[in-house]
Amino acid sequence: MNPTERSPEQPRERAGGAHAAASHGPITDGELTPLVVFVVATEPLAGAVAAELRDGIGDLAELRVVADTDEAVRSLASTAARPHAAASTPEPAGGDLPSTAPGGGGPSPTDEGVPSLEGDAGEPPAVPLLVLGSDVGRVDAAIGALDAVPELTSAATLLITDRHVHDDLADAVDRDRLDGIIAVPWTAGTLGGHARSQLARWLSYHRAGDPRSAQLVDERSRPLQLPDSALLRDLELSPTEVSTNLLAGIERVLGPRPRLRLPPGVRLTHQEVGLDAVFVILSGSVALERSTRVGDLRLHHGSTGPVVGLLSLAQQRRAYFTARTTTDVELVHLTLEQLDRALRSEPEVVGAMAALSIRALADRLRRAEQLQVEKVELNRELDDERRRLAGALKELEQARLELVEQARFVTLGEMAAGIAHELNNPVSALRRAASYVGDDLERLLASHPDGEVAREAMITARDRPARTTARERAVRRELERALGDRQLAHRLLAAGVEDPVQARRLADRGEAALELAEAGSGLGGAVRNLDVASRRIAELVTSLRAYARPDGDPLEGVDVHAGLEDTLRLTAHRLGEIVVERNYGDLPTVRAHPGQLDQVWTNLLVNAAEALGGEGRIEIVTDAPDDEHVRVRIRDDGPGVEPEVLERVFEPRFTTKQGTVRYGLGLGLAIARRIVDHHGGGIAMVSSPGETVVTVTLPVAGPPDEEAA
Amino acid sequence: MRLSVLILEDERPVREALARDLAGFADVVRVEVAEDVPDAWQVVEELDVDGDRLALVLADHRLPGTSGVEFLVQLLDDPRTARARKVLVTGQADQQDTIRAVNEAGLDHYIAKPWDVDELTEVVRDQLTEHVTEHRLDPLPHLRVLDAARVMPLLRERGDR
Amino acid sequence: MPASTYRERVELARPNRLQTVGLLLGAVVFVVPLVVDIPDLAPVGQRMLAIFLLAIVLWVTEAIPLVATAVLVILLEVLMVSDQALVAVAGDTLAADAYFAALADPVIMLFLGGFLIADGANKFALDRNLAGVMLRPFAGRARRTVLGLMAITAVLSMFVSNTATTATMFAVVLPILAALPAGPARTGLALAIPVAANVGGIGTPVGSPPNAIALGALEAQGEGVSFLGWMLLAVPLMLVVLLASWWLLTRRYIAADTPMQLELSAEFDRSPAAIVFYVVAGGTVLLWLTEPLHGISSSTVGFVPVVALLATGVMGGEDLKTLQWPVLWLVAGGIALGAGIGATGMDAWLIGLFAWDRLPLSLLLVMLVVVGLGLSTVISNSATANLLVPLALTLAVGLPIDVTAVGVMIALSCALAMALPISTPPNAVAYATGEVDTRAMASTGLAIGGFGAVLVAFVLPWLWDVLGLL
Repeated sequence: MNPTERSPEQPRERAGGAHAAASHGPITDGELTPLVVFVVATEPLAGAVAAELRDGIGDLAELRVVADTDEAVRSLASTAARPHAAASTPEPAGGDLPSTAPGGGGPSPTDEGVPSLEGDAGEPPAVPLLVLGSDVGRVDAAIGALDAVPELTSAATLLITDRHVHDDLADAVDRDRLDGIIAVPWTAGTLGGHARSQLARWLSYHRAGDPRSAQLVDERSRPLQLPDSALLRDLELSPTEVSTNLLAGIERVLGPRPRLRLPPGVRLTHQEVGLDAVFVILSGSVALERSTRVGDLRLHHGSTGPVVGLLSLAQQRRAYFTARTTTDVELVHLTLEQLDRALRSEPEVVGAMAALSIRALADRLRRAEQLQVEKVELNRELDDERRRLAGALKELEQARLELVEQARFVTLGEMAAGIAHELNNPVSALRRAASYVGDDLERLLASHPDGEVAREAMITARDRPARTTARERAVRRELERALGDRQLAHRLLAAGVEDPVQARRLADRGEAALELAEAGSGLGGAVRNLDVASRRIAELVTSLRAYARPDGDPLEGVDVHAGLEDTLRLTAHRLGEIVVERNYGDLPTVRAHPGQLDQVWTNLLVNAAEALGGEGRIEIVTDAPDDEHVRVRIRDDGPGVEPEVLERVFEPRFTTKQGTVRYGLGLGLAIARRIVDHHGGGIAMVSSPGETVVTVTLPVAGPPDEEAA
Repeated sequence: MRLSVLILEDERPVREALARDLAGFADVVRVEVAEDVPDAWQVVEELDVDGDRLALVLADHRLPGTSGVEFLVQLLDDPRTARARKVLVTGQADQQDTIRAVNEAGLDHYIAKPWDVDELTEVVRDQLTEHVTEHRLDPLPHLRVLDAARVMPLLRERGDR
Repeated sequence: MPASTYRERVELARPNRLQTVGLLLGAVVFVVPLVVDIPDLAPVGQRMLAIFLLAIVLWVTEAIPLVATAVLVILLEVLMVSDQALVAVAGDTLAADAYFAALADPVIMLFLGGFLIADGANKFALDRNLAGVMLRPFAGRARRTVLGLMAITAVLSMFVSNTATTATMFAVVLPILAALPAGPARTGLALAIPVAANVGGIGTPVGSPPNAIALGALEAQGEGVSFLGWMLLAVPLMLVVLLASWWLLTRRYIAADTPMQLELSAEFDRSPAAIVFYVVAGGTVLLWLTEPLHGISSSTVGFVPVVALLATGVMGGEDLKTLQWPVLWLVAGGIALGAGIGATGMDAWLIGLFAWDRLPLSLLLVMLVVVGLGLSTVISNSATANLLVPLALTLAVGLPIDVTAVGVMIALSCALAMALPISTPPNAVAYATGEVDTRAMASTGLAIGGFGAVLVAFVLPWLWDVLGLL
């Protein structure tokens, strides 16, 4: 088992690593940890194992043979306790040990207490190797018991077994606590070799730099006793060394091969094109590319390997990739025939070739796995991105709807301006006509022989001040009582006569006079109503014009109250049954864009009205806090705005009515704030249940000059 | 007993125009006007004292402090007015108001402003006729303001004398 | 739509001045004969006189509804002059059932049949369809159309109550009326209907209540008149007066060139129920007209459609409910009053009160006709008949004139009263349309009524005599 191939999740490797890093500083010659190898087995197996081990590891480690795991634990515990006891009562280490160790090198009393070990007071022994006989019972249980001792958890474990089947190893395999299984009987020397290798490996992991390693490893940190195969040997070498070996082997067969030197960008193989040669790269790098639906992809660069074209041999000699040099490259070109000859003649070439292939495959596999991981990560990022985008899209849509709404009202405003303009003429004509009709009727009736009655009735009706309907009924009742004739009273009233005496006089003048008076009175009322109605239309048109005035330079002398009144008139239909109370103070005129200010008032009033839900009170208070400013406060007695909502209420796109874009909400307050800001003023909202006040402060001087320009 | 028509409208010119358009009914039917809801109830009181019967209410929708629909709903709670026919004369009731008027106040008709005189008088005649036939009132005193053909069956049932 | 949960309030009518006077005067005239001893009149007769005077006052003033007076008369008769009188009285008394029997008098049965047929005609739209069919020959010119309308109205009115006929015909005429230009033509047309309905009512015994009252009283005297017999007596007068009315109305109000278009669709109901009704109604009328052949009295015949229509389910309880029971009971009150007068000796006292035979007969007849016409102009025709018929028949007994003639004459003169809106319900309807003013109605009504009265008083007795009808 090559430790570099262990997955980082392996518990032992991590524990061992941590242990090594935590417990051991740089190791000096003076304080070498004594090493102990345990053999847990019963005779006669124990004896045979001990003999083998002694051959294998010599005196590098103390060998302790114990019959069962308990004994091993005890033995180790006493050893570990020794540093404290050593100073006063030097006691043979083997005192606690069974004296059953067979053969030479066993823990005989004479061998006990190896001076070097004994002398290293304070340093507990390390256990690099456990050799476990299958006669200990259940192997999992035995290993589990041994692992209770911390020193034993990092020991390599060899199982010596005479059984054909083991079903008691699941836990040990799972926890990677089994390093080797040797069947009984073993070839002489095998067990010793194993032990030696394990010891060497243990030292290189846990005691790097331990001088004892020198007796076990050669100068390349490799265990001394390696397998003899070229393949495994080559696998241990660096790719360059292997390719050098390969080339050397080939050249031994074929004689020296010419080196090709290529600049970057040269294609060595072509995707899906037949290939009858391989390239052995001596220096430089080559990328492998493949053209796909989504374009040319560079799939390998660092993982290309020193032999290009090798894998094509496995695919009916069609190149899977396009290989392209990316630097200056030196290589050797080999035809299939040449390769074939070299492989046939030189075992070294076969091993090197296989090693290169395995390495190349392994590199590419890792690259593929890395790509897979990257793909998953990318997908996740893509998902997140998509979610963010969807959210953004929704917000954009919301904003767009509100803008459309706003644009609609801008259009409506323009239309209103147009209509107001168009209405000017008819309204003027109507106003004048109402007045002419009145005058002319008066003149006309004056010229009629009996016109006086009608003229009087007309003037009376025209000029009669408004009164309550209750008052009108009271007058009628009085007249009815005085005349005793309901029908007549009705007609006289219609003729505008209320005084009973006068009424009687008119009644006495006969039917014709009565009819004349009725007609006159009707005319008078009509003229008056015409006047009232046309004046109202004219007012509405004026308001509409002021409201819809296109923006230009700010105007001097803007009357805030007039703007408020215009707005109230135009939003009357939205205010419905809401009672509007005005508390106007004395205000100086201001310099402002009146149309924009009207927009502010509209938005604030409509917002208040919506909050009230069509019922309640709105109070408008105006005053001048100082000579430089005017202040408008719009107060409603609605349910109020919650604090967390309040702080964002002037932000664009914020609406308390989720999902619905309503006129005056969302952008309404934001627009109001923008306009007020542009005017150099301030806007604020204070709210509690039952009272919400929006305060707008405007400078008398109007917008800052650069804004005006 | 006279049938009476109550016009509830807060704007004087509109009120006067409505009353004048109904002048043709005035010598048979008592036409009363009111400018607001309290005054309308005052009229109801006066009608009751005089022994006259409220047969039809023409109400504007937008009234100061309340709505015409609200008043029409109130009418249902008073035995003197519960049976009156109810007509909304307005240019401004939105759909919600109208639905409420129909469902809760038993609105009988809706006249949009600006109204057409012929339509107005036709509606008033029709509603008065409905009122008379529905409550089997003696149609003879009011025949001139009713749709006579429709009340003839009522007359049929009275015998010779 | 929320249904109103309030009941229609039952309003007690506040009595007007006339009614108040009527109540007070009624009390006085009721008490006086009871406390003042009247010579030659037995106590029971005095009681009857009290009832009679009360009835006069109440019917004239309408202090209480006419039908209420009628049932009051019956109740008072039972309580005062019957064998169950609260305070027993000396003299002849009828059994109480005799007075109650007025409510089911044979004449009432006759009327019941008439009413049911009339209601059925309306139910199956037979009246309108007949009108449509009958009007066709008259279409074209205005005056002819008016003649047609009057003829149809009169014919319908012979079998259907005058009021119902007027309502039906006005429903037909209103569209034409609306299409006519305002002016005399409208007045003429609006008058033609009630005039024809009033006049048509005299044509048959079931045409109007006074006929029934007279018939009932005559039958009580053993002088029964058959359905056909009545028609022979009355239809000539009806035709003459109708023609005269048409002539008067068209000359006065309707210019010959007045545009008048009247198209009536006639779509007869052909459902089985309707056909059953047609057969029953036709059979009933046929039996009424053929009484001399089979001898079944018209009252009995009148009860046949009641049974037939109810049995076949063509008409049902609802239809019975809508019958004009007040009219039937008003007639019954008159019959009971006549019975009381005859039974209590009050009739003898009346005859003895004055030497009637010293007066010229014709003067007496004129007097009766004028009183009948005058009284029924201002009060109900039926009430007039109720009051006058018993008196007149009583007087006629001692005079050289046929009692039947007197009875019929009274009924006819009552039917001719149409000078005021209050004279008859048809007049009231016409007046209520607003197309006719009182002046036009009065002048037309007086002319027609006067002409008819002259005929009744002077021509009819002679005619009847000449034709040998009596």
